[in-house]
Amino acid sequence: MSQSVIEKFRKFLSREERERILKREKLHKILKKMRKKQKELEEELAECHDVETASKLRKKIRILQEQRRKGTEMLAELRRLARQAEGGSHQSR
Amino acid sequence: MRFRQLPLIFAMALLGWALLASPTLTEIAAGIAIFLFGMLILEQGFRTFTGGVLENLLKRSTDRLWKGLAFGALATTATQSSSLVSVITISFLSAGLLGLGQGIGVIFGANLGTTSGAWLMAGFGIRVNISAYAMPLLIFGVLLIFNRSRSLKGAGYVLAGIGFLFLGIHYMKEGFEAYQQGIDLARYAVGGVPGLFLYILIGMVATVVMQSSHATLILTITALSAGQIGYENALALSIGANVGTTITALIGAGGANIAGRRLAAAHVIFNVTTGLIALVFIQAFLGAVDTVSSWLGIASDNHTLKLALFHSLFNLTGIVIMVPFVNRLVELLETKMQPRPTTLDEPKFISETMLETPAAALEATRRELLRLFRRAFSLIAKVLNYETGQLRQPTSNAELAIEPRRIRVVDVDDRYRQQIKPLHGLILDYLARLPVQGHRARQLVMLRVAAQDLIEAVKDAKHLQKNMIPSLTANNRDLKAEYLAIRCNLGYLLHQLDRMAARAEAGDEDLDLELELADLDSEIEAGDIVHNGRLDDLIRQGRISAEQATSLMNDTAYGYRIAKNLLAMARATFLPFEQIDAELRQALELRPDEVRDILNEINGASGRQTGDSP
Repeated sequence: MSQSVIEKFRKFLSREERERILKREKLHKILKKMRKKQKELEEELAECHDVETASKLRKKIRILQEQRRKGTEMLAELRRLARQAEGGSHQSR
Repeated sequence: MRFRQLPLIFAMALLGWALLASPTLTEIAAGIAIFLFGMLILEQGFRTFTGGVLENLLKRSTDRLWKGLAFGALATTATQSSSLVSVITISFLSAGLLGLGQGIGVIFGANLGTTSGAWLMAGFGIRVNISAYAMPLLIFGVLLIFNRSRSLKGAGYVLAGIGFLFLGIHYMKEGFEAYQQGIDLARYAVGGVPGLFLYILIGMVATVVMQSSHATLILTITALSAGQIGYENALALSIGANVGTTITALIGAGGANIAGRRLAAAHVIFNVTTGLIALVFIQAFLGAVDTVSSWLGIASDNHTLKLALFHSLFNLTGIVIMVPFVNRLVELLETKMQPRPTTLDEPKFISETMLETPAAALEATRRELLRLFRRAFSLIAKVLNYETGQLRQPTSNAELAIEPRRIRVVDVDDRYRQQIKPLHGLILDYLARLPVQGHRARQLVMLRVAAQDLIEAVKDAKHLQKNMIPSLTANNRDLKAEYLAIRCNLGYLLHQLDRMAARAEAGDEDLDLELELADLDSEIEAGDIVHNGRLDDLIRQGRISAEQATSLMNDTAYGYRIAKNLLAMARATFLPFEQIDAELRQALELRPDEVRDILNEINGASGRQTGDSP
């Protein structure tokens, strides 16, 4: 209990930690929004019969997929850093 | 030496003489000086310690008037500094992060929050030996100030600030108690209406001199508890302090833009109105204080707590009376206080007062950069021989591809010197003076790079114009078509960017900036004739000469760079930093080779679908 309070206080005081958490939250939100947008575009594509419009939609979907891949990799990296920082703080204690 | 410094020298000499003549006065004056110093240190501490927490809270908690009121009251109670809250609010308002109505709510709340100081002093400060707490606070505070960690350093400033406040109060108390043994200042008290006006004036002057209503109130409570001033005179002093504090807001608004000045005016209107209400209905307030005191169990002779109650009551009454008229007040201020038209070399959003509030200053700079973008937009549009209005209206690629009726040559250097360079210089100068750390420092670098991207785009537009003008009137139809395509692609990009900027500014939540910018990026890659092989085809088929090919290749590169620089600028500036981290925006950006891979994949799939060879 007391350890977790100390841990919370340490996190609150550490600017890097605060920024990392904030960034993770923002990235998580963006990825969620992107996934939603991708689904919308896929539904639009399923109903689209115009070749040119379909091609444009496919391009947008691929861009989103690629952006989401990058975002997911970054999120994993941020999580790894957070775990590393936590491990470091436990070791120092 | 300037003559206007003479009154200051005279006042200092007079004070020096008075301090030499009276050791007791020295003690009180030293107490005030230490108290004010403590307030400065405390403010510094909160600025460092909170690391933008106050600013983040302000951004999140002011969408409703009552939230603004609560934020103002709580933040001022926590920091014991209404001036800190006022300065942050003015900065946010000037940067456009806050509406005038919400800002007024915060300022009203801060007025109520400032009365908490009187409660703390009357309820706790004068009853205990406050200096006993001051010493350990100062020791721990100074120890923490030497710490490397920014947060601990800030906490150290907060502790030392409170320590100095306590020490200052201790000296003030000692001074008034010493007076008590010698002379009785209460004998000189002026009663009745003249006394009321006299002490209101004294309260105003004391607050203006010390630039702190808090200090005036603490001094009043200390003098009241030592019996050196009467209860009624103390009430009048607190009214005077409330009115006098507007001077701080007016000084703060001096360097602010129109939004900041409007808020300062609202502050003055509120405090003067509240002061007048308290003055006119003072007897009613005294009755109310007695009634509420009996409810709260405050003894009838406990004048210090009753003073704190009076202070809270008349500020609360002011809020209750003024809140229903906030919208009208906003309307009045916006009608009567019009911004003067800004000249081309004048900033519209950034101001000196914001330098102390990095979040607001960065947001204001971002908006100033958008202003610079609009100017660059107009200039590049003219270089491309488009009317600015034409690119701002809903338009299609086909419309933009139409050959211009009349071709003009724009003096880019002259327009750059007149319309872009002065504002760009101001932005760079402002950014250089902005004290930021951590992620804010990275935001600042991004803004600086974005400004540079914009300038590079304008310079490339100048180079592009050189060959574009003769080529648009050339006899070679293929060459002309290629230049028309470069023009059309850039025109479409400008149109889209302008549309996105407008949507972002309007707070359109459906705007998927990442996707839209990446989509535009793919259009640029698709239109790059060097990479898509079109240039080679033109040369191979002998449709353009080798010399024309060289020029076309260079100009395609200029067009490509203009587009890439504009997109990079848009990524860094089109959305406020809080909505999506600019670093994340860059991390999600696709590299040109990734975009080309997607294009090849899509073209391949389309080719297969339409039966073309892969």
